[in-house]
Amino acid sequence: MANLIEDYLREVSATLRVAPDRKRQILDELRTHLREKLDDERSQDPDAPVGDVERRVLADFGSPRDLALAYEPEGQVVLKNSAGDIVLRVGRAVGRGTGRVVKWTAITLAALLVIAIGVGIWAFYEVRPLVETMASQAMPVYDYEETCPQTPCNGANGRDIFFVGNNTKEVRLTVNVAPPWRDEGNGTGRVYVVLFDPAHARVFERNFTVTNESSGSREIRFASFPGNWTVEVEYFEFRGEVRVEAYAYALGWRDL
Amino acid sequence: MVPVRADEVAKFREKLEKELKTGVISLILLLAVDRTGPDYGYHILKNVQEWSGGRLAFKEGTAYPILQNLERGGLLTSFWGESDGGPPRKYYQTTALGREALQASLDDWESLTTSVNGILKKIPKGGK
Repeated sequence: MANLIEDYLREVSATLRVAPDRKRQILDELRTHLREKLDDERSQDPDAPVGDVERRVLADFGSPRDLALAYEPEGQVVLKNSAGDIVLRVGRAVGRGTGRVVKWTAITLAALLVIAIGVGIWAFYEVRPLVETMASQAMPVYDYEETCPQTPCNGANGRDIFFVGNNTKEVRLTVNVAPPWRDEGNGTGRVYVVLFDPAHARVFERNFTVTNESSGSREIRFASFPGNWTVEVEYFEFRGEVRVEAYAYALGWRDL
Repeated sequence: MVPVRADEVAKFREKLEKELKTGVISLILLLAVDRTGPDYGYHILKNVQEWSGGRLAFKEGTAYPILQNLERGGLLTSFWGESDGGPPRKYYQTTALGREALQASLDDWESLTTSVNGILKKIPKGGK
């Protein structure tokens, strides 16, 4: 029913150069007038076609362009490059520019997110085994070798400290007590080894004995605690030369 | 004698009428709002048409920019209010400044019309 009125208001809106909220209020006020007048006219002439009544109402209201121009700050004088017009044009341009920046920033971020997710999935399936393999490699953390004759080792003792990092899951300590050259082996002796974890708890102690018939050797595994581990060694009953070797390895990535 | 062109006469009348009405309509609208306000545009215009007996003819749409200018000048104030079942209406009412300006303008109008009427009465009739 009010199509002609809305067409008219669209024409006003196209020419009206005011801030958007002000424009909305102006159009609302004009629309209220036109619809009330249309209702009045139709109640007085109910048999007249609606379109004719609308056209009459709009003709009484005046040209939409003249009306819009009359809202200019200087009344009916149109200032093509008024300060308000420039502000509105700059505002529209800035708005369009900002919109483009926001749009492309969002697209870029979305693309980066997709790439990051893809890399994450690839890494999970492709890199994890590699990391696990690397993690399973034993990292040396302690190395002790000594070939002791009867003197001065007999009755001596020593104390070493080695560090184990946060991501290790296991410590392997290997102790080997033997003559330096098995085929010529004539040394005998006994080594008493004690291992303390970082909390100074005694996690292992053992005598390693080498005789003319056999050597003492053993690998011991411990759950890792990060921090400083301590190895204490004490030599007893040495005859001839005896070689003492002790190695510790850390195996990492407890969280994998 | 150069013949008088009817379209040029009409053009002059239109221009003069426009110049005269510009100020007059502002005064009439301010007066109408002051006497009946708070009131909304359509009803203000209906009152003006009724009071003038339909003789003050102008495009209704032109009243709204004038109301806006009066509001911008601090002579009117406005608010949106409910209508009888229809969309909200914008109501206008005069401010203290508007009432003072109206009274001064009515005095000026009285003085102007008196002067103009005096001139029209005393000026020699006819012309060459």
